Amino acid sequence: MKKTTILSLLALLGTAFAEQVTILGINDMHANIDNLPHLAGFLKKERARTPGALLLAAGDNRTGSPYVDAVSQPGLPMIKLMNQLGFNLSTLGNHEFDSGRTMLRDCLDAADFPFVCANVRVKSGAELNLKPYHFFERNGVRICVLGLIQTGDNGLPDAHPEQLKDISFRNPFEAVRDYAFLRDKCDILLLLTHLGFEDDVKLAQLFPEADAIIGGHSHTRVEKETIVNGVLVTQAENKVKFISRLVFDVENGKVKSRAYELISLPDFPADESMAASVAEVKNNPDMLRELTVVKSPINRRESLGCMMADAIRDAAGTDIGVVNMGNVRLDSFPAGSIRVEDCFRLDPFGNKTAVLQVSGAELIAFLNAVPATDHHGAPCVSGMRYKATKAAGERKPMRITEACLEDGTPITPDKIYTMATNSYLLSTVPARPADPGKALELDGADSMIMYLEKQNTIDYSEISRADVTVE
Amino acid sequence: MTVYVNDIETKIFQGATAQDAARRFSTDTGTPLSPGQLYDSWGNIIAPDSPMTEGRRIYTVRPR
Repeated sequence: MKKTTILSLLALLGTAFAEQVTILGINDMHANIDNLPHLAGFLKKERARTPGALLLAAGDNRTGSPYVDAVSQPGLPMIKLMNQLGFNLSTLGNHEFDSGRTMLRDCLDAADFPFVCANVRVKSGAELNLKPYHFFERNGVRICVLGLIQTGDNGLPDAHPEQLKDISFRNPFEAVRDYAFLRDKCDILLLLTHLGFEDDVKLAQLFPEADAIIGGHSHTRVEKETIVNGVLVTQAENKVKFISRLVFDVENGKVKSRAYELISLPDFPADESMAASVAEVKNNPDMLRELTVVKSPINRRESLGCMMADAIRDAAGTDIGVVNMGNVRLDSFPAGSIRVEDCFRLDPFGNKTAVLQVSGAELIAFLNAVPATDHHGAPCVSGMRYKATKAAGERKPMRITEACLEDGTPITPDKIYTMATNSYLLSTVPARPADPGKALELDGADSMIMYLEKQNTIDYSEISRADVTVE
Repeated sequence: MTVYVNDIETKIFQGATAQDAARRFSTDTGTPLSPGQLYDSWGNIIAPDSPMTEGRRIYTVRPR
């Protein structure tokens, strides 16, 4: 009887010391600002329930919306919205580097919350407001969050190398071992990573000191509680569609239990104040910036396609540019200003510009096969012109009978040319060149903005580079 | 780079997404793609713009 009473008392004492900590994780928001009012609506409810909940972002907060990326201070509008949402911490994703170190520095400085990343090193004099880890305290529970970013085969994150000048990166799997000491400095140890789910699984196997990984990069929807080597591995897909909720019960400095839930955000009513802020971001005059002047109305879709092909060829620095007609979303364009927002109307798809080497024979075979995958018509080209015949009807291949470079030099079957095209064509055209190619960190609209702002005026009204006879 | 779609080796350009890989698989094998979800080897749904890496395995039907 006496023993039972003591045990009951101990159990009660244990309960008295148990504290609950809620962590909210989101990743790869990719500037999908239209969903932020729903996130704000969710946060309002959640914070009323659990006022101390921490809100963490696992990188790639930006890149995905012209209102955030194509403005005079790229990335900054997203940081301002994240400040308003009350983020507590973020790690860096590869896309945080998309506008270079100086712009990243400005974004980090503008954030009301810290950024953590343990495997990035910046040259002296070029420092970023960044640290490897950060401590929080909630209800007497000490929480440490360590940040990590992915690196590819070249030792760099998936960003344009030009944008990574003065910055070096360590392999995240090696770097993490230097931080095993953090286990003894906190009650909950979290890894806030931008590695991808499969690599987070590998990380969990290497670093069982962590209680949980809040991951990003692979846009994986982890719906079920996934525990690897004792580590809870989470990720909430992308574009502010979901958020992860992790609840830890901590007793006497030890995590006694954890629970994981993936919550769908569009189900929550939009917060009006955040909706107003998003509307303000969309009203940015930068989107109306004039890039150049169109001298005469462009009345042919093919002519607009030639302009887009010129743009990707110019951006990629290749001999040839190829765009499919289905990628050209306007049929005509009036004389006058062409503005930033027009580039996103012309090419709203966000397909990446890709480069590869092709022989003349491969180039002709590729072009001949484009209509088989794009029923809108013959491909639009830059740096060359061609004559072809095509059977009537959709998705019939064409047959090029004559092709030459823009100076009139015939395209030679065994000569090697560099070609820029889009990622859609590169993955769907049946005639596959031997070189699989490489996507640049640049989409069609980005290429167009870069190309057009270099031109004083443009005149594509009479431009046609394909003479196709339908038989 | 080489990735695997439904356990079939698929050559795809560097920087490709899961959707690019699925399209290449469809083009190469003549398998029509239904507009359904894509999955990783754990059976998690992945977004179409999920970046592909060397050797990654994705599926057009949820793996068991």
